[in-house]
Amino acid sequence: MSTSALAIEMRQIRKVYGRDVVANDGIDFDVRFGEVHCLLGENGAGKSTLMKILFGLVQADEGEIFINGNPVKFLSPSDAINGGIGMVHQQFKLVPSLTVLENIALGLNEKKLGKIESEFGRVCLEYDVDIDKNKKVKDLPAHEQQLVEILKLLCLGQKILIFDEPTSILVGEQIQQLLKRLKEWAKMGHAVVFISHKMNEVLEVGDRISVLRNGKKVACVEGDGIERDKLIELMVGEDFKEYKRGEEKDLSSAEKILQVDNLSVKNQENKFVLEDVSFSVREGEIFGIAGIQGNGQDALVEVITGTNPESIRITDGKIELEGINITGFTSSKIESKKIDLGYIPPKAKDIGVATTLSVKENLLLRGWSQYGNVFVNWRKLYKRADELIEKYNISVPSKEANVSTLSGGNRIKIILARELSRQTKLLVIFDPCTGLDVKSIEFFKKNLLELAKNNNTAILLVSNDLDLLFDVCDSLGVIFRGKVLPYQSSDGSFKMDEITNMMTGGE
Amino acid sequence: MDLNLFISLLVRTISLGTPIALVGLGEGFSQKAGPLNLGIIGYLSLGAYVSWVMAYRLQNPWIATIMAMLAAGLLAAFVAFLVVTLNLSQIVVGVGVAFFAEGLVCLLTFIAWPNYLIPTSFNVGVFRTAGIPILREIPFIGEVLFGHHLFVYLMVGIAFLLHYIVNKTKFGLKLRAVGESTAASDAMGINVARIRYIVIIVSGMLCGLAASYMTLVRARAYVLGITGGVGFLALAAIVLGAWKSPRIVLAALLFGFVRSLHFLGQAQRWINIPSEVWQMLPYIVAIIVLMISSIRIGAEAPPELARTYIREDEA
Amino acid sequence: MGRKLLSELISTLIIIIIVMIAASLLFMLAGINPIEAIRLIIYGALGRTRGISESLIRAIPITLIGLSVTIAFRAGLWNVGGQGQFYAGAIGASFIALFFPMTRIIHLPLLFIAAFITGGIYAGIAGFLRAYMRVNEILSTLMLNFITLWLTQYLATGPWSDPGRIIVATAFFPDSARLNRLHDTVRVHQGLYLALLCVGIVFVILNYTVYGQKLKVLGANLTAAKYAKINIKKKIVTIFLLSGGFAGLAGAVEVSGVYYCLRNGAFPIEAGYGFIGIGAALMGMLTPVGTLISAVFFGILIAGSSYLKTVVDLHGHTVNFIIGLLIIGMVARHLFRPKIQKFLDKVLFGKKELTERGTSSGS
Repeated sequence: MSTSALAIEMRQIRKVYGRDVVANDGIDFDVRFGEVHCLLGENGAGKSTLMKILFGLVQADEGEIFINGNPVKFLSPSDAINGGIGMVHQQFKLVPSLTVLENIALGLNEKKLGKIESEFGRVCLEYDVDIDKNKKVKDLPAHEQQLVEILKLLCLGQKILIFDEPTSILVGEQIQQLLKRLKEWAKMGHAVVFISHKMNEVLEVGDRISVLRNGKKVACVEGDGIERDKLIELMVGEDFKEYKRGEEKDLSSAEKILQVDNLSVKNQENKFVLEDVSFSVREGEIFGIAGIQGNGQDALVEVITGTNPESIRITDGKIELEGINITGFTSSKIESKKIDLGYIPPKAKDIGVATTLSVKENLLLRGWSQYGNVFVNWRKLYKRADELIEKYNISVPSKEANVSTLSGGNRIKIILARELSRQTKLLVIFDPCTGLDVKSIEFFKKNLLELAKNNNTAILLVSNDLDLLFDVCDSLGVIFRGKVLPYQSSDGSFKMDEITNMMTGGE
Repeated sequence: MDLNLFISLLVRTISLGTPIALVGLGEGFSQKAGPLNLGIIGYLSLGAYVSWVMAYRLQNPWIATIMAMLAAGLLAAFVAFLVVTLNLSQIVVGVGVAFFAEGLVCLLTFIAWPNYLIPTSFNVGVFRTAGIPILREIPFIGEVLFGHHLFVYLMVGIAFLLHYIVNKTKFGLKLRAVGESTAASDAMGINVARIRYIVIIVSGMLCGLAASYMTLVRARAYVLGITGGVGFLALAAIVLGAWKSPRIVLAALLFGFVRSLHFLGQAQRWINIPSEVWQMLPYIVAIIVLMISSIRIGAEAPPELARTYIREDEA
Repeated sequence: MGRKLLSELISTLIIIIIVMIAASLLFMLAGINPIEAIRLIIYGALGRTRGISESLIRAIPITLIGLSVTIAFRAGLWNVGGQGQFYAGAIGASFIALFFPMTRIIHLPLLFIAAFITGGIYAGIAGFLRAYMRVNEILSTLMLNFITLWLTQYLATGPWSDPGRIIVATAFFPDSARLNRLHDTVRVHQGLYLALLCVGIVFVILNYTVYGQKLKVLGANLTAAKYAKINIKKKIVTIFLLSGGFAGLAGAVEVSGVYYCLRNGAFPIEAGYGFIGIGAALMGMLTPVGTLISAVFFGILIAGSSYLKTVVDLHGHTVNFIIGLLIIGMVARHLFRPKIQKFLDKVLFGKKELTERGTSSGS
C-alpha cells in the first residue's frame, strides 16, 4: 500500500495568527490513496489550522500544497471542493430545515433534481448506507447527520476525505461502526485523513499516524506496532500523570443542596424532553450525568439554572435549591431569592463570556451583587481580578482587554475563575471540556475536586465525556430519552461498557 | 356606497398596492437570502428621479423605466459592495444610503431643473394609456381587473416568477440555504457573495420599477419625496406575507387598500375624521400586522436576516 | 488605550476628508464652486457668534438623540425610531406647557419629565413588542416614526391650534415653559446645559452602574446575557424606555427652547434629527462624550448648509447626502482603523507590544 500514489502533499506549511501566534510551523504532511492517515495532537496543536489551510478556509503564510501531484492554491472551500477534497467538519455544514436530498443537491453541480436523486440512490447502494432521503436534517440524530455529511462528499465523487474529530459526537457502537467504515473506504481507494486526539481510535484505524505538537510536526509513524505510551509521549511531550480521584467519601449524612423530584418538562413542540426525573446532589458531592447529546440534558440544565425559560415548560415535579423551591424560576428570579448557583455552560468559550467586553467586565458577569447593587465597585473588582488572574494563571494583556482577543483556553479559565470563586453552594457544569487542551482539563479537574473537598460545594456535572466523569464523580446517573437512571455498578467502580450500554438505551 | 365608488376603491387599492408589492417582492427575495436593505427608500427616490428626468429628456417612458431600474440597481450594487464585500452592518449602511440618496436626489433635481422648476406631464413622456383592450370594456370586472397599466400584470408575473425561482430551482435552493445557514452554505461551496449580490441588485431594480410606476403611471408627476412611505410599508408587507411572493402581493394590496381609504373618506365626506388619521392609518395597520405575524409566523423569518457573514478565520 | 483613541480620531478624520472630497465633486456637478460652498458652510456655522449659536442649537437635539441611540445600540437594540420619539416628546412637552400653566420652577422640569415619559413610553411600545411578541424593533420603530409625525400635524392644525396665529401652530408657550436664551443676541438656549447634563448621566450609567454593565452584556451576546442572569425581556423594555426618554427630551428642547410652540407638520428642521442622531452616535463610537463631539460636528454641518441655502437655493435635504456618506463612513472606519493603529505603534511608539496571544500558544 505504501507504493500508492500521493493524494495530498503539503510542504513546509506555516501560519501565524495575529502578530505572533504560530499555529503551524513548517509542517510537512502527505496522504496516499488507499490509506487512513491519522493526524494526532492536543487541542491547539495546529491540526485544525492545517486542515483549514488544506480546505481553503484559511490561507497559509508559507508553504506549498500538491493534490494528485499538481500544485494548487485554494482561496476558498469551493476551490478545495473542485480540487477533489471533501471535509467532514466537527460542526456539520448542513442546512437543518432542508431535507437530506436537498442538502445533498446543494453540494452538487448537477442542476436537475431527478438526476441527483438517482445518483444518491446509487451511492447509498455502493457504500451500503441506509437513510431516509426525505427527512429534514434537523429531525435526524447526530450520527445520521454525520452520515449525510459524508454522503454529500461521496455523491460529489470526492476521493480525498478529511474527518475532523468525527467521533466526538458518537458513542460506543457508533464509533466502532464509523472506524470500520473509514477502513473500508480507504480500501475502496479513497485517501482518508482522520483527525483526533483520542489515542485508542487512532491506534485502531491509522495506517500512518502524524503527530503535531505546538504547531510543529514531531513524528510520522506507521500505525502497526507503535506503542500507546510512545504516542502519548510524542503528543504531550513530557511525562504525564492522569489525575485520579481520591478516597471514597461518605456523603449519606451530608445536606442535600439540590433536590429534583419527579420533574417532567415539555418543549415548545409539546413533546416531553424530561420525564419523571428525580435525583439529588449533596454537599461536597460531585454527581455526574452521562448522556449522548440530545437526550434532554439541555433542558435539564436550563431548567435548573433558569437560563432559557421560553423554550421549555414544566408539567410536573419540583426543584429545590438549598431548601427553597425554585421550580420554573428564571435565573434572575433565583437571584432575587438571595440564593445563588454557579454555572459553567456548554460552548463556554462562546456563551460563558461576552466577547466584545473587557476581562474585568466579564469577571462581573453573573456575580453582579458581589460588587454593588446600583453602582459597580470597580476598586473591589480590580483587586479581585488581580487575585483571580494570579490564582487561575490566566494570561491576559490587561484587565481592560477585550475577551475576543483571548484564546479559547484563557476564556474558559476566566469562566472557571469567576464561577469557582463565587463560592456558591451548587455548581452546575455542562460539557466543560470542549475546546480545552489536556493540561487545562487536568487543571480543571484538580480545581473541581478541591472545591468539593474544601468548600463542600455540591457539583452537578453533565457531560458525554466518560473519562472526565469517571475521574471526578462520586456517583453517576445516565440520561437517556429524557429519563435519568441512577447507575449502580456491579462492583463499586465505574464500568465503561455498562455506562455506554445505558447511554444508548440497552439495559 | 354606490357601485362606482366601490369600483374606484378597488382600482385605487390595486394601483396603490402595486408599488408596495414590487418593492416587497424584490426585498423579500433579498431577505430570503439574508440581506436586509433599508436602502430601498434610497433606491426608490433615485429611481423616481431617473425615471422622470429620462422620460423628460428622451420622451420615452419605456427607456426611462429601464434607466430607472439600472440606476437603482447600480445604487444597490454599491450597497452590496458595502455589506457583502466589506461586511459592514446592513442596518447602518441602509440608513446611510437612504440618507445619501435623498440628498443626492435633491442635488440632482437641482442640477436638472435649477430652482426646482420640475416639468409637468405635459412636457414629459409618461405612460398615457392603460388597460387591456376589449377586456377592459367589460363592466365592473373589466375596470377592476383589466383597466390597469401593464406594470400591474408585470408585477403579478414577477411574483410568480420569483416564487418559482425560490422554490423550484437549484438557485432558489441555494438562496434558501444561504438565508438559513450562511456558514454551512459557504462550506458546501456555495458562492454566498454572488447570491447576495444578485438578490440585492434584484431588490434595487424592482425598486426602480416601482418608482417608475409611481411617477410615470400613477401620479404622472414628480416631486421630491414622491416615493415616501412605500418602502416602509413594503417591509411590513414582507413580514405579513411570510417571505412568500404571492402572499407578499396580497399583503401589499392590503396596504394599498388602507391607503385608498383616505380617498373613500373624502368621497363620503367623513369630515369628522381628520386627514392625518388616514395618513397614519397604514402605519398603525403595519404595527398591528407585525404583531399578528410575529405570533403566528414569527419563526419563519430567514435566520440569517440582517446578519453579516464573516468567514471564521481563527485557529 | 491612548493609541486606540488616537487611531480612532485619525480614521474619523480620514473619513471626513474623503466625504468632503466626494461632496465637493457633487457640488461641482451642480455648478457650485465647492471651495466657495465650504467657505459659506464654515462661515455660516462658525463665522460669527450667531453662526456658533445656530450650530449649537442643532447640536443640542442631535446630542440627546445620539445618547438615545448610544444606549439602544450598546444593548444591541436597533432603535431607529428617534424621529418618532422626538415628536412624542415634543407633544408631551407641549401638553404640559399649554394646558398646565404654573410657576416656572415647577413648570419647566415638569415639561421635561413629561417629554421623557412620552418619548420613553413611545419607544417602550417597540421594546414591549420586541421583548414579549418578538416583533423586529427595526420595523416597529420605523413605522412608529410616522404615527407621531402625523399626530403632531393633527394636534397643531386641529384641537391644539391657535386660530389667532398667522402660521398654523399652537399658541406660544407661556414664559414659564420657555428655556431662556443664553444671551439676548443669540438663539442658543439653556437646553445646552440639559444636553451636557444628559451626557454626564449616560456616561455614569454606562460605565459605573450595574444596570449599564448588564446593558452592555445584553448587547454583546444574547445567549451570554441569558446565562448572566439578566431578565432579558424586562431589560429590553427598560432600555427602550430610557432610550426613548432621551429622544423625547430632544423634542422638548426644540419646542421649549427654539419654537415656543408645536408647529404644523414637520418642524422646519433641515433633516431628520432622529436619523442624524444615529450618525452622531456611530461617529462618537457609541460613547456619550464622543456623541457630544460628533453632534457638534453635525450641528456645524447643518447650520452651515442652512446658511448655504440662503445663498444658493438648494433644497434643505441636500445636505443629507453628506450625512449619509458620513454614516456609512463611520462604520467603514473599522476596516482600516486597526491598520492605522499598527502603523502608529511602529512609528510613534516604536514597540511591538505583546498581546496575550503572543505569550501563549493560542488555541
